[in-house]
Amino acid sequence: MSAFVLLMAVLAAGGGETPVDFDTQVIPVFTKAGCNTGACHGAAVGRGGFKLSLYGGDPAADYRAIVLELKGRRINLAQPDDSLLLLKSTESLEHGGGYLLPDEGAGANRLRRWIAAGAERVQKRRLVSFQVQPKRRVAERVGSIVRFKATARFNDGAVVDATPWTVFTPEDAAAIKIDPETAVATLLRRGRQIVVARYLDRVVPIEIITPLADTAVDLARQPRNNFIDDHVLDLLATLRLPVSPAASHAAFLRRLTLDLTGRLPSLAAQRAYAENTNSGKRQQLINRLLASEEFNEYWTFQLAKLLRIRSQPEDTQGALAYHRWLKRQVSAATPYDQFAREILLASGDTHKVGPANFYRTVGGARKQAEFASELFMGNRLRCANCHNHPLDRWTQDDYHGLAAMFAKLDRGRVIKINPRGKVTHPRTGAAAIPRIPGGEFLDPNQDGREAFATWLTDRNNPYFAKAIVNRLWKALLGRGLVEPTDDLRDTNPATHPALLAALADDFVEHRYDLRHTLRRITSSATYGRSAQALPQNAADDRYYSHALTRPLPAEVLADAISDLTGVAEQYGDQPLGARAVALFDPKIESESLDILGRCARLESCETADGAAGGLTRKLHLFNGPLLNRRIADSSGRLAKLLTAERTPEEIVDAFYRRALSRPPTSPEREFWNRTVAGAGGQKQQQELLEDFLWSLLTCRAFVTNH
Amino acid sequence: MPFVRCQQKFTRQLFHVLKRLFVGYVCLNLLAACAGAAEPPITALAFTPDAGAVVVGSQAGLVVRSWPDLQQQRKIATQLVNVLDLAFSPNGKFLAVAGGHPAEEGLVELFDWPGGESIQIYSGHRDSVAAIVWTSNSTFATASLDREIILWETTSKKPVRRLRGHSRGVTALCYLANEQLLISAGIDRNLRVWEAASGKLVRSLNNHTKEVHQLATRPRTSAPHTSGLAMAASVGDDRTVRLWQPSIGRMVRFAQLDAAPLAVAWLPDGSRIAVTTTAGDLQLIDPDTVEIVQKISAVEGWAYSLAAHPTDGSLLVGGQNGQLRRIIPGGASP
Repeated sequence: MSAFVLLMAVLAAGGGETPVDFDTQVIPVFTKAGCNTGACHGAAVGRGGFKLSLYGGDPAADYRAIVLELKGRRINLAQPDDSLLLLKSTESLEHGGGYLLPDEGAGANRLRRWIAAGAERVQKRRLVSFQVQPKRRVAERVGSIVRFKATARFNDGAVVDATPWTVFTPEDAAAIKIDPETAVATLLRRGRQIVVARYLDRVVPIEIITPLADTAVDLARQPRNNFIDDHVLDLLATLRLPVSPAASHAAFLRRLTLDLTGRLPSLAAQRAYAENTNSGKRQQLINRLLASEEFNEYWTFQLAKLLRIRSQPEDTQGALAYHRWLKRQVSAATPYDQFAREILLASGDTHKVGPANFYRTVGGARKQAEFASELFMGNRLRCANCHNHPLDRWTQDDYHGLAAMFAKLDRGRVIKINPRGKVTHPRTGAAAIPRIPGGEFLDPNQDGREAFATWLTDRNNPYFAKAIVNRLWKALLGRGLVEPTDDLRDTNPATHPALLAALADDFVEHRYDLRHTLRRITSSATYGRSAQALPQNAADDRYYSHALTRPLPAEVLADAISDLTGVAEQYGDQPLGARAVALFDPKIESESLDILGRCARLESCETADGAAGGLTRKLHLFNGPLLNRRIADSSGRLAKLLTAERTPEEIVDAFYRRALSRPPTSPEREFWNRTVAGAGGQKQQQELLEDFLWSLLTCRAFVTNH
Repeated sequence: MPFVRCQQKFTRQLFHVLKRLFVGYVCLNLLAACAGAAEPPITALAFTPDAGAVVVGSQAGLVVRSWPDLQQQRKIATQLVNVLDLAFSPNGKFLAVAGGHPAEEGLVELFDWPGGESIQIYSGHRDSVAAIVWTSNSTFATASLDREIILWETTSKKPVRRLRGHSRGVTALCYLANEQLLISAGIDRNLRVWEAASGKLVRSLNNHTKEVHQLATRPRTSAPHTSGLAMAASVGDDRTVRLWQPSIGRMVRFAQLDAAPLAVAWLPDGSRIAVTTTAGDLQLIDPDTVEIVQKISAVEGWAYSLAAHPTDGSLLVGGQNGQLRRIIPGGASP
């Protein structure tokens, strides 16, 4: 049989049949069989002494490994059937990866035909487009079938059915089952699922939605304050998810004040808001908070975390200069594109030029490239350090090219050009050439930052605006449209792709104004929705049918505790009364902030924050001196209220309003009245009120924004 | 399982013999079809003891070609699927052919010379034998991709001693006769120095930063520059040629090339190191200054094998697609 195949191969080679192309026909065989995955030969160190590029991202390296290395041991040109490549993949020889290719199957025969024709790499064509149908499908019910069809178009004009060589991988294998032979998917679970289709260097996401309920929901009469609500309600209607009603004014006031200023609303602000009868009072509140000094302080803190501003060993001056510069930019409403340019192009003494500290934040040019791409592009270029990014377009040339650009900087206290700076490209062993990610190579003798900054802040840049509006969305809604927020890519699509694009366009149209986008989002009915879930939408954690309850950031919680107890915290050598969100350096000594889980800013701070911390942190919070000392402090708010001979009911009411922006409900009031009334004397009553305050400080309603 | 594998191997070898005949028939009848197909790479070269011919090894087997016109004189049938190294015994009476079946079995086939009759098969490795070196007229050592080195006596089919120490496949081997030291190197980037008699590991040398492809010892002649401590050259994927004094564990100097060297040989007078590279070049290096004194384009693609003629000063380069080229350093290629 094999001889017959060989004969056919020989006949084919001389008979005018198109020779097998290594780059576009052999590589897909390995990808389809899983040979070049990270768990197999695509691992960074290969497997069993044989290394392939991850998912065939580097055909030249693969050809070298398969055909040339070790004196060509893996290919036998004299006896193609004896090629190690075939013997292993068909498990004719013991193979750690098991049986991958049937001996007479299409994959093995393609390899055999290629070897018999000389195992050459002629690079005869290039993939120009890859499409999958359907790209989005709303299926009626669990058990529904979806057939995928992949089409590849090459620059020689060939259009081929690539379905047999396309790998379809569901993000959640328990939700969708896909037959690798037929590319037919069976839906196993309701919800929105993503399937990634991979062919050669292309990856395409496919969205499959199975409504979460059997009956449709009518969302036509839901308020639509701006385009955000249109997008959110459209998807909710498709998913058949009902929405929770609008949040109460009190809940909205607390949520918005915390989001825009990092503070609890004062009693005066609560009164003023409650007494305002204007129908547009929510908009008025948004505008007032966006114009406040507290907003400047809090959003300086938010951006400082993003920029990872922190002091260097034995050097706090740089961080201080950086923080002050940042505060000026926020106060002056500097457009975000200009803000980014000033950072990227900064040079000089870091004690005087605040943004120059950007180049002292991480160590080395490669880390700088990773940081810059995550910060300003929301992209993890770092995945392209060792190999071309398996799930995105980034290549090693992009990664090391951007690093080469930053390598031209001397990053001591004074940031200046170092013409001799370079990074070595691991594939070539030579100095990497500076390059715009995904774009052109730059003159290695020039400072490439200007070109990079111009490309980055171009209004058509596909990453810059999306990266920041996605972060703003997360800051206000509790979850990014893309998660993680530093991992924007086609294969990690947004829950609402059109909404993300619309927000980015709107941001660019309004001159990269952060306040504008914050206003746009907080003005939406989506933002103003209640956090009280309905039975039908309680499981929703990403489609915004109700507001998500979010832990307060450590610094915000620390300030809230100080405000509520009336006892200020001492932060290092800062003046007593300094607010945690105003600290310029996360290294400033504070046991409280450490307990509450502040971000050290050594790495990205874009993970779960504050009160969501572990058991140890909770135990410290509940039982440690952080709360107990301040609850019983003789100069604290409780002591002062008791000294002023306020009634227990008045005290309970006052703390409820300060902590939760609302008075206690009737059952709550009755409970506390009954409990305190049962106290035997003044001392016991004080202890009971201390317990009441402790319970308020540790309750979920206080430590979260909702 | 071993029985099944043995049976499978026998069946496959029988099948290959039939297939070779069949392919030959097809090729004869379909010349046009075969004309475009690539030839296997030339992976091993050895000049015959009388220097009048060269033995050429590849996946196509063994071919004896006349020198210097490289005309095919005869083919020698071998049981090895891959031929990775060739070595004549010091007395010229034996030709040892190293290779085997990749990832399955490493073999050495011993031929009498000049008769070319197969007289013994040595089987003891679990992967191809990548390098072989004679340590006397009746003993030799083999290095294998199975990470082991085996010491053999021609009179016994069983290994005398196994040397274990490399963490990955061993690709290179040379022997310092005066010091009775074996030097090995391989994919783990290390050179390891062994006492040939006892098999004791003397030292490891770890200057290479990528895998090592081949080793060659400097010939000892009456010329003063070949006296003193024995010297060996190694070539590796880190694009370096490194010179060593293995007996004292010293790396003397190194040359950095613009392409990875694959094979290395000394000119017979020890005055130059010749290397062939992945760019298909032959480069001549002054061992004292490590300057590249000559660079010649030798073959298209990778130049896997290299041999220096014992007397006429020319070199033979073998490469991809069955390419074979004689080069006279300092002059034009004939």
